[in-house]
Amino acid sequence: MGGIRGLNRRIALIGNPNSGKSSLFNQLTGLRQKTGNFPGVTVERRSGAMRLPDGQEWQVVDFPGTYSLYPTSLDERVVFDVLSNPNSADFPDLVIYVADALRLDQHLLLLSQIRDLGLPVILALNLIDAAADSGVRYQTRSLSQKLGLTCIEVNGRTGEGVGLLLQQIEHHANGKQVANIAVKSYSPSSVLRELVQDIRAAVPWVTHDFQALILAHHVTELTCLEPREVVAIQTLNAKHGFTSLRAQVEEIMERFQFIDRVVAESRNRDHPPGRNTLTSRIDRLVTHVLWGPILFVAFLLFIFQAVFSWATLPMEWIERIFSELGGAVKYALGEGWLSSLLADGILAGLGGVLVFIPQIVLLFLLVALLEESGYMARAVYLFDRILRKVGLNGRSIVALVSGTACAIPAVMSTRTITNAKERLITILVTPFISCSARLPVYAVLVGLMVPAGKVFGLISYQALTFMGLYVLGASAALGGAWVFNRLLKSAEPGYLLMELPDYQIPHWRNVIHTVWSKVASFVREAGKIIILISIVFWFLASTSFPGRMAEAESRARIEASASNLSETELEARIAAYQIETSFAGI
Amino acid sequence: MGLRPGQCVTLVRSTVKNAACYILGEFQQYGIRQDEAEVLWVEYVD
Repeated sequence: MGGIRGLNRRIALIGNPNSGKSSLFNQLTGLRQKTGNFPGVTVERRSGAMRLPDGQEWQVVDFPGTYSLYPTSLDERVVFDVLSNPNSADFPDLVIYVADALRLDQHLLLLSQIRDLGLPVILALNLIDAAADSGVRYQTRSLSQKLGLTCIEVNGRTGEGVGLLLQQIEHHANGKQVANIAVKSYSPSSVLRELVQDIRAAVPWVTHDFQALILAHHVTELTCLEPREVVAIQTLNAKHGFTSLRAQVEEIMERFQFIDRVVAESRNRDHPPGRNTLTSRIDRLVTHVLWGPILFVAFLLFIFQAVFSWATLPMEWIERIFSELGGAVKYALGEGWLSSLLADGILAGLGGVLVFIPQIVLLFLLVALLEESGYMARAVYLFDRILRKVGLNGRSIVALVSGTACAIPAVMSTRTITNAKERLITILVTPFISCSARLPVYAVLVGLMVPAGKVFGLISYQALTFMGLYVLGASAALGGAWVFNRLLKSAEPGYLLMELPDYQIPHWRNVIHTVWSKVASFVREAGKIIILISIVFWFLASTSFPGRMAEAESRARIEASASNLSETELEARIAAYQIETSFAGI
Repeated sequence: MGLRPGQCVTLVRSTVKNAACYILGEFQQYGIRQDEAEVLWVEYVD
C-alpha cells in the first residue's frame, strides 16, 4: 500500500495547525484555498491538481492540522481516519509534512508518528523567514540525515523553495529517490511489542508495528476494521493489560526526547529564545480583561459604520449607472414589453444585486483582515469565559463572527470544538447571526426607517441601528445557547487550550481572494434569485385583467388635468395607478 | 495541543475567576482555561 498508483497519485499535505499547509497547497495547485492566521482554518480535506515539471499530474490533498495521531476534535480525526486506513480513497502515496521552522520541536511529533506508519515523507520546513527573523536557522542537510528523509526549506506565502520541492516530488515519482531511511524515534516496551505482534497476526493487512499499535489505541473508533477484527484486538488489549493513556504518555515522552536531540543538533540560534515583543505588546491591550472586550465592540462598530456609511457613495454610483442604462434601453428600443422587460425587469434586478456589492465587500474585507492578522484567536481567548456560561466554547466565536458572512462555513468551523455538546449548541445557534444575505434587507429597511444624522458627529444613527440588528441576532444566539445548555445534558468536559499565533500583516493576495470569492458567491447564489424575482415582479406589475391598465391610465390623466399636474407628476400618477391595478397590486 | 511534556511556560496573564489564562512557551503564546492549567501544571519553577 502507499506506492505510486498509476493515474491516481496522491500527495497529502499534513502538519500541525497553523503551519501554513493551505498556503503551500495554493502554491502547489494554483488554487485559492482559504487561509488565515489562527489554528483550525481548514476543517475538512480539500484537493486540487498539481502538475510536475515533467508534466505528470498528481492530486494534492490539504488536510486539517493535527498535533498527533491521537485526535481530540473532528477536524483532527480527518487525518487519523485516512492514515490509519490504507484502503481509504484518500490514502496518500507521498506525504509532504509541513512544519513551522520556528516551532520545529513541537511540530515533529506527528512527523515521527507518520514515519512509523511506513509512509514516504518529504519535510517542508515552512515559515523560514519568520524563524530567521527570530534568529533561528537550520542545517537542513543535518536535519535530513538525522530524520532519515528529505528536508526542503519553503515559504508557502512567497513560493520560495517550492520549485525545489517539486523537483523532489518528481524524483520520488520517478523512483529516483531512495525510500526514506528508517529512524527509530520510539521503541515500545516489551509488553507492547508482544501486543503488536499478536495484532499483526490477527489483522493480516497491517504492515507496520506502529500501525498495529494505533489499532490498539483506537479499536472502538475505527471504521476500517471488520467486527471480528475489533473483537480480536479488544481481546488482545485485555490479555496484555493495554492502557491507552499510559501508552500514549510513554510514547510521546520518548518521541520528544528523540526530537529534542535532533533539533538541538541541527539548529543554530543567533540569540536565546524570547517573546515576540510586538505580539506581546499588542496582546497587553487586546487580551486585557477590560480593554479587550471594549476593543472587540469597537471593531464591530467600526465594521458596521464602514458597511453602512462608506458604502453609500459607490452604491449611489451603481444605482445611477443602472438607472441610466435602463433609460438608454427604453430610448433605443422605444416603448414596448421588450424594453420594459429589459429595463424594468432584468436591468433593475441586476442593479438590485450589484448595488449591495460595496457593503458586502466591506463586510468580508474587514472580517478577512481580522482572520489574517491573528486577532480571531484572541477573540476566542477573550470570550471563552462568557460563552462557557451559556454552554458554548471560546472557539464558538469563530463560528459566530463567520456567521455574519455565511452560516454554512460558520457551521463547518465548529469541527474544531472538541466537546460534542458545545459543538452542537454552536451549530444550533449560529443561524441566529445575521448573515450577508440579510444585509440587503436590513440596508433597505434601515435606509427607509432611520433618519440620517450622527451621534457626536461620528457614528451615524443608521450604522447604530444596523449594529443593533446584529446585536439582536447575537443576543438571540446567546439566549438560544442558554436554553439549549439547560436542555442538553453531557458529562464530557470541554477544552480551550489553543495556540495564539503571532500577529502578522495580512497577506493582501489572500484577503483579496477571500473577498472576491465571497462576493462572486453572493452574486451567483443570491443574484439569480433576486433577478428571477425581479422578472416575476415586473411581469405581475405590468399586466392585469384585459383593459384594466388602460382604464387606470385614463383615470390618472383625468385627475391630472383637473389638478394641473406637470408631465413628470402625470407619469408618476399613471405608474402608481397601473401598479395598483396590476396583478402585483391586487 | 502544541504544549510539550516538560515544557517550561510563563503565566503572563490570569484574569478574572474562571477566565482563560494567557501563557507563554518558547516562541508561542497559548490560551488555556484555569481548570485545564491545574491539570497540566506539574511543577512550579519560581
